[in-house]
Amino acid sequence: MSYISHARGEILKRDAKDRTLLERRVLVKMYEMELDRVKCIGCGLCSDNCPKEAIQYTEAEFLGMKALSRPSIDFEARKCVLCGECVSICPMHALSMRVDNEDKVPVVELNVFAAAIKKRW
Amino acid sequence: MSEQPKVGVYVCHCGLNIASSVDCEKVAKEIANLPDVVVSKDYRYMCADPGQEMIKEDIKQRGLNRIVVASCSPRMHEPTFRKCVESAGLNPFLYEMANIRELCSWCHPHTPEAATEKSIDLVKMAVAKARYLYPLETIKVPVTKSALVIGGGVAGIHTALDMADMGFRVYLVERSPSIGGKMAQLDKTFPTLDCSICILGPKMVDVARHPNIELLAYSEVKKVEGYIGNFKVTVARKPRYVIEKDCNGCGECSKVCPVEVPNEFDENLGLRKAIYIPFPQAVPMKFTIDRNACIDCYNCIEACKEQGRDAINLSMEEQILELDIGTIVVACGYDLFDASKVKAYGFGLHDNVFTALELERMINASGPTQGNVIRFSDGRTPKSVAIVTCVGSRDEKTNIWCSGFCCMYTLKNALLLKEHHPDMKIHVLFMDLRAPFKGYEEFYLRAREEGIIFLRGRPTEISEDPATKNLLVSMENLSTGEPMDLETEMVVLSPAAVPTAGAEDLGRILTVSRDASGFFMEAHPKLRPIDAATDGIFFCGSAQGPKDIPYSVSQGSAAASRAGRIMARGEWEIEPIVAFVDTQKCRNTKVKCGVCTTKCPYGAITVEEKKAATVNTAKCHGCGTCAADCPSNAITQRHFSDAQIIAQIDAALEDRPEQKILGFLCNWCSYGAADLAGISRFEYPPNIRVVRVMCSGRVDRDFVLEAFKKGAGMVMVSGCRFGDCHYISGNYNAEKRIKPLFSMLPRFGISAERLRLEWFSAAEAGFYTNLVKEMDKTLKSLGPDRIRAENEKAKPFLEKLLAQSGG
Repeated sequence: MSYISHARGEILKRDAKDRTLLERRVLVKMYEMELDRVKCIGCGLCSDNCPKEAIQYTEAEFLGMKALSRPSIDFEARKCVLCGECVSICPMHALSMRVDNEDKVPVVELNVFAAAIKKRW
Repeated sequence: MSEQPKVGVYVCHCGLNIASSVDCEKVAKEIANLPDVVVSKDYRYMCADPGQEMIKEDIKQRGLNRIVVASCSPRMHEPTFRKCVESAGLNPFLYEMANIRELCSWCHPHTPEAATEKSIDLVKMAVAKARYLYPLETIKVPVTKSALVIGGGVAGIHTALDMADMGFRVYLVERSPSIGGKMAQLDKTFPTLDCSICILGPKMVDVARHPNIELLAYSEVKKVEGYIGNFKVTVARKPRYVIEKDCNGCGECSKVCPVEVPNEFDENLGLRKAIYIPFPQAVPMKFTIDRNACIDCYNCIEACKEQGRDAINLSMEEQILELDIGTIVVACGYDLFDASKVKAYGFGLHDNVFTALELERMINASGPTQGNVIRFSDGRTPKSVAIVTCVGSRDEKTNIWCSGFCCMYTLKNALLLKEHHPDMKIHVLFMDLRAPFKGYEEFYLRAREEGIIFLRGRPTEISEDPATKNLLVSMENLSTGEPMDLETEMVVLSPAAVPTAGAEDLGRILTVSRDASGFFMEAHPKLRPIDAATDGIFFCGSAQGPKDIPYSVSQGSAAASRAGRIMARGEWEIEPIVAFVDTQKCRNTKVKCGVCTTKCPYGAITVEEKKAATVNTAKCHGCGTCAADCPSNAITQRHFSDAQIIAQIDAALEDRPEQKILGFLCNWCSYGAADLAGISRFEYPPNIRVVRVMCSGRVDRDFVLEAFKKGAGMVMVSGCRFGDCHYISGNYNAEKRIKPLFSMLPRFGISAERLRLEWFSAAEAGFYTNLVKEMDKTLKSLGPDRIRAENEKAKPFLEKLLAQSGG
């Protein structure tokens, strides 16, 4: 089978080598969010600001002074509501979002910055 | 009682229902020899007028002062005969019933001799109890003239409107943000194809506007206490985060909300905002914030302020309401079976497999696709659709019941598709098509005339073509007997109706039982289809079993009239089977005791220092737990006194006790199951004798010891399953009390397996049947000789123990 069985409207998460894709298809609309793991430097801004705490942050691993891995982030698909706040805040443009195959970020479209960001800026 | 009992016994033939396996004449003759029995007769139909007249005549002519009728279950005709006895001037509680139909003739059709012998025993037991009966006065309780309706679907709406029109205060509790239920989700209704929301919408508005209805949407019933006419109900109002009285439903908040999540109302095919109304005609027309989706951007607050309002409060908390309620109507409806559980049909796996309700939302002009039926894979309208019926019903792997209305909504969906797309090729794959009500068969014929193709057979598998995303339905065409594959561009599954997700909790809160399928169980399947076994609680609509709209509406009105009948009177008589304390015997006058207060599930007993305990009669529900647990036997439950029950035990075990099983069955669950076993004609060994108590909590340890002292082969104590007890905790108390006997009895020489403690619900007739068979097996394997020997050895110990506690 091409993909796993899921309930209608649920967010599907697909991991590829350098990217992670979140996808939610309902009959009339498709939301996609993509993380480019090459561009992401693991600053953690998105994780700090996610209003649903849906982004997990993993610190870099060290062996003595030697870094074994970069800090990284990951999505928790169950918690995400695809608001696009992380996309709007990412300084590295590592996150992107598409609604019905058009580049669109809901929070930017509606000129919203959620409370946490409003306070910060 | 000082007067000499004069017992009249009437054995009913019930046509051939009893007489076919029980020799009623012989029973009457045998009983005539018992002490105090003045009259003993058999007659074809005791419940018919001539039968009742006969009893009345005998009371007057022969001066009878105790009446026993051996016929059907007391759950059936006890009220009938009580009224009969009362009209002849006798106290109705001087009447006792022997159940020789459900508990005997119907279960032992092939062993007439044993059935007759059992009937004689059952009547003997009733006579023994009757001799100890004394007159009781019924208790009148006031009835609060307000009703609680649980569930705001089409049934709940109608019951609420009817009761409100009668002049009663109605609280309509609905757990989702809007009333309307499943019917609001539908596009059209069969067989007339009129628009669902167009006919339901005005009714929903009527509910909101009615001065007698308080609509509590987005709320849940948390706790129900009390009894008929006097329920205390706790309702939790979930926080909407929008102040209902300030919101005017303008919708500006929703426009500026950045978050979109799937809309449950649209079966997750469309989206809604985090601040939303589920559908445009929602009642109440108040917005709700889904805090799981909200990202705290406060855009809505600003938008609301721009409208000159301040209706949003993100720090709103759950509100608890305490309501005084006279009657309760349960209209909690059903859920659709989760079609993804039938793995072979690939719902959730294949893009273009939909459920009927999804199609309904799609085809609805105000639905997510504005009335366009489209495929998930490419957004194209399919050229062919196959509709599969009986998904999750009439199938032993899922649910065995027929949900009834699926055939009709399948036809409706097929016709709607045809109406929208005349060129579409529509197949209906069915096992049987059931269209039994007015206009339904005509509707089916119309579907055939419109060119819908009906194929008989149940699909075995639905697979997907990975390239075209078309579906291949494999099935056996039962008309030709050939296997066939049907390629189609879309599949619509018609799922069964199953009990709603909250039904289990609700059943527990109300302490009403559910049947084996999980739907609520009515007091009598034919004659009391609306009533719960608990007085003052009623069911309507799909809460009790799957129902279509006209049936749900008529049940809604029926429930309103059943409830109104109680509320209109303003007071109600309840059975005086309450407990009372013998102030002379109560230990608390000498030492600190108060065991009864801790056992009473209703807090009906109060104990003050150095004074005898007192029972608040209005609060007492009559379970008898206190009577069983009182260490000095100072508490008596009226109509189920120690003397009466022990008389029954002794009568049951007079003859060949070692071959008999004595069962103590609680009125609500186990006795119900035994009745149901009879109604279902399940056969089991005829050596069980049943003592009915109101609750397993009434079963005193002494009763079990007395039974063994009398030489019983086996004893069973049974009640409702844990959590289902009609008296909240009676069965827990019974377990605590009876369990120690399992280690105690072997010390006297009685094998522990001769005592059984069992819990089962009123629906589990099969369980009861197997249980009796199993006990009979144990009894046979031990053998009468060993049992007699065991009893002989234990007797001195038991006598000593009983003498101690009896003092």
